[in-house]
Amino acid sequence: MSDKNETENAIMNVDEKLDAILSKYNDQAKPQSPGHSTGYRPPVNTYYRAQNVKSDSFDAQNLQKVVDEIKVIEDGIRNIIAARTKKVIEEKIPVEKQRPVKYNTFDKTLVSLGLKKQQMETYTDYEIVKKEVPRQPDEVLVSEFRGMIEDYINSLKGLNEGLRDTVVEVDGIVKNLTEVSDSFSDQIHSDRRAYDAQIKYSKELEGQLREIVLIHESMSPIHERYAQVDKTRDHLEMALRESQGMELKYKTNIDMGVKYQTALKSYRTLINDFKETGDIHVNMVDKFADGAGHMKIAVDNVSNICAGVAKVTQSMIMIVESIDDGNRVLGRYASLIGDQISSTPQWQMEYNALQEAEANYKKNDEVRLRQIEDNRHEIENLIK
Amino acid sequence: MKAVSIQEISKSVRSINVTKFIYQVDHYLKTSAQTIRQSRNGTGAGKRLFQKIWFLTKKRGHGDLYAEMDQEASAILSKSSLSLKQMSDFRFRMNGQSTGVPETDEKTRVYFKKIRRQQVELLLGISDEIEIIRNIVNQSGQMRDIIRNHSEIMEKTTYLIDIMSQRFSQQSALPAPGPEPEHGNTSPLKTEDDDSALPVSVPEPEKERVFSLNTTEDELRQARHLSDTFRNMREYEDSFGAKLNGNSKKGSLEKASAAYHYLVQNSYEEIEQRKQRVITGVRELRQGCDILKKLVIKGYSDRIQGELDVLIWKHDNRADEFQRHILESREMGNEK
Repeated sequence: MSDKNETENAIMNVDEKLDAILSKYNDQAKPQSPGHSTGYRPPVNTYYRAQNVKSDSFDAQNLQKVVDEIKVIEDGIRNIIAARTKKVIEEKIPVEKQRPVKYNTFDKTLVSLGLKKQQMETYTDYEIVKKEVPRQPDEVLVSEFRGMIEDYINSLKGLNEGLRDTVVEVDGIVKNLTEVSDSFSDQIHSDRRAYDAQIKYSKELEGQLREIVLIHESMSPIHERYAQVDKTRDHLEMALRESQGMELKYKTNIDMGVKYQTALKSYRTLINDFKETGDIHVNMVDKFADGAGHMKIAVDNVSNICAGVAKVTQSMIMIVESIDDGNRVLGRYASLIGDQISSTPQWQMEYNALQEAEANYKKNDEVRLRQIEDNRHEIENLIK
Repeated sequence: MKAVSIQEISKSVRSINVTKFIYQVDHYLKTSAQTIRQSRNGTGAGKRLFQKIWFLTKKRGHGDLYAEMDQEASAILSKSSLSLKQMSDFRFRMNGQSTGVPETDEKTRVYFKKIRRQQVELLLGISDEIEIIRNIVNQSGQMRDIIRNHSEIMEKTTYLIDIMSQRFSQQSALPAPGPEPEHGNTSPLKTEDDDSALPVSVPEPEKERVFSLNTTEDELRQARHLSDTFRNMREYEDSFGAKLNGNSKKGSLEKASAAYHYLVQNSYEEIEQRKQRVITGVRELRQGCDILKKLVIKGYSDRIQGELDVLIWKHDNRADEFQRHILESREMGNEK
């Protein structure tokens, strides 16, 4: 009988043990919440070091510096434009004027008959007057620079055309004066030759006259040829006087010609100076107009570059921020994984935090993506 | 050869009438004097001188005046050469005037010769002076024409260069060139305060033009070109700006017109001198002719001694002066 008891005890012991095991197992399985994946727990990674998964944060300060510098350039240009242009505003100012008094019909008749004098009254009228007012840099658009330069170039070009034509005409004057001066020279030379020839002739006559005078003085009046000698002497004297008169006339002509020619030459030199100054002007202005044309384009490019770089910088800053946010998400996830949180509440908490960070990231990311997309479109337009 | 009578000689000498000529010369001198006076007093002299001359020559009278003077001068000259010819052909005969006193006769002959010499000298002198006056007037007329033709253009030039130099002095406040625009010289461009600000009404915002942002080779070249231009402008203004503003064209124009004034003044004085000589000459000519007539018809007498002495003394002076002048001119001619 004792063998039977021993067997029954043994069977009871097995049952009890089984129950105990089952109940223990059930106790462990209960606190799991619904919806939670019941299976997976990452195994212990012997090879994984818990570290901060974070890249170095991008330092966007240098980008900001570039944007600031560009702003400085733009402000400089704005200041120039504001300094060199004035705003025209219209103002109403009160002005006193006189007008004839309005009379009724009876009085009007009296006035027209001359019995009553038309009187004047003063009244205040408003006149619209245009006033020039200096501008502030803030109200200036950088694009006005281009317009300003265009106006200036156009007016310079117009002036230059006029000056160029005038220079050509002045050149004509110089040539004309040269011709005149040359003809003066020719005249003076021929006069000189004639003068010399005349002197020679006069000297011949003087010689002849001397001889005749000797004969005449030594001749007695009753000589048969006395009358002839007399007449010859008279004629010679008259011829000599005429010849000497011609000498003087030539001399006077020469002197006058020389004076005129000198004046003409100095006059021509001055005009030539004009012409050369004018030439240099015209060339300089042409060069400047060309260069200023480039300046327009350069300024346009500058303002476009400023805008483009600013946009690029903004996009980059946003990308950096997005990376930062992403880093934060990754960090949380990594810490979540690295800690190997097995207890459910802790895990749940971490998981919730991860979800929030992800949702936040997604939301910001949408905004950022939209902004970056816009920037990209603008930059593409600029590049086209 | 037909014998010439003293009557004819006297008539032709008397017919030499310079009054009209002198009147024309005076008229001419008056108008030149106006020009000189006005341009001496006026400011902006150069410009107004040109205007004045242009206006003067425009007046119908002036052009006609030259022609009339020419005509008159030619008439006088031909008359005087006729008188000369007659005088040289005249044969003096001691006939009716013989008094029987040999000394008186001798004196008559001698004085006749002297007076005749005086007449010849005067006639030649007067015609010379008149010719010279005519030449001077013609030459100054030429100069006047030249200047008149140029006056309009010169005025335009001075006006334009005035404007240009003004603008250049204003634009010296232009933005200073950076050495190379690509160096990122980010300091703002020079802003100097300026009176020449162009009035501009506030514009509507311009539509931005589309430009490439990629700095191509072309644009680099353009930027370099631009800085070259600025450098050229600087150099030009430095070297020529002073010249422009310093000896302003007004100064040079006045110098040119000063040279012209001097000429006009000079010719004025010369014409005046010679005119006086013509007048005195004609007077003496007449006097001498009267005496000549007396000598020929009546012969010498003590009454006319005084006149004779005066006339002969004047004649001698004149002849000496003339000879001196001739010798001087010859020497000057030889020096040249």
